[in-house]
Amino acid sequence: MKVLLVDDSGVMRKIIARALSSLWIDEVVEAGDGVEALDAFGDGEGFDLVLTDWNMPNMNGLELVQAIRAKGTKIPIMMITTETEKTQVVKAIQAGVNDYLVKPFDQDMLQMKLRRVLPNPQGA
Amino acid sequence: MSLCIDTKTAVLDAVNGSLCEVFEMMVGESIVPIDSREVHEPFDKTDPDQEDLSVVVGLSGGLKGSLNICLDQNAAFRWTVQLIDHETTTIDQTVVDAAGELGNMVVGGTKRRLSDHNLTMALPSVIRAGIECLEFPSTVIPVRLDYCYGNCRIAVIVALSQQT
Repeated sequence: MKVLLVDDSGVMRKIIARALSSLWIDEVVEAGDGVEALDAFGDGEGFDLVLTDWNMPNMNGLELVQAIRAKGTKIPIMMITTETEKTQVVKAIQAGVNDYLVKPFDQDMLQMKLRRVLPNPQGA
Repeated sequence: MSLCIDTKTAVLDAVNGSLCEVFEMMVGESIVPIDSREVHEPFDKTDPDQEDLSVVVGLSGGLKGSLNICLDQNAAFRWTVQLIDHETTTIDQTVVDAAGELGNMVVGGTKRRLSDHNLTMALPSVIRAGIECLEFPSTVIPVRLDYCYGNCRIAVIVALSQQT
């Protein structure tokens, strides 16, 4: 299973990657902004999940979600962000986000969300 | 129009709640508030041998001023180790980034708690300097919140302009 992890903070990518390492993930591809992420994503072939921050340089998370959905893919996308304003959350959902996690979070919360959004090959 | 006491209290409560939440959720450790007071004198450096870090965030919109999180060197190291297992004896880029991330999350939580105040918070800047380097205009009376973080210290300076 392959995950695209997008955040301009290397520290945050490390925290999330650590949580992913305890799940059934084979590969995590990291990107520092939406442009890098879109480039890595390509046509989405082989990816099973996208995790993205909202506020990033060059291309933000919302624009990234819109660009990925414009490709016609139904890949699960979870936004992990400090943005909590209702209008922003609605915008994210309208853009095609499947789940939303607010920073700060604890590891249990992160893992629970990941388990919910990740396709589970064992059906557990 | 001057800043009312209720607003000031709401901001201090929001900052305190957000800071405590970030530590509890991200590293599973409670920080302990030990003091809260208005400051009228320049800040003193606690330990001249330490290289401290400060995270500075500008506030605009409904409230104007800044939020400053000052970590002594050991607090910055402790936070970085607990957050991402990065051990070091000098303040390197990872420690700076971890401090920036702390600022980001505290800002996010504070904004969430003050949603009625139409508050805009800038991106945090991290400076390699301690509390003694912070200076404020005379229109600002900073409030200092002190915390124990294990055997380390964290000070938060909330500096709001008295004019709204």
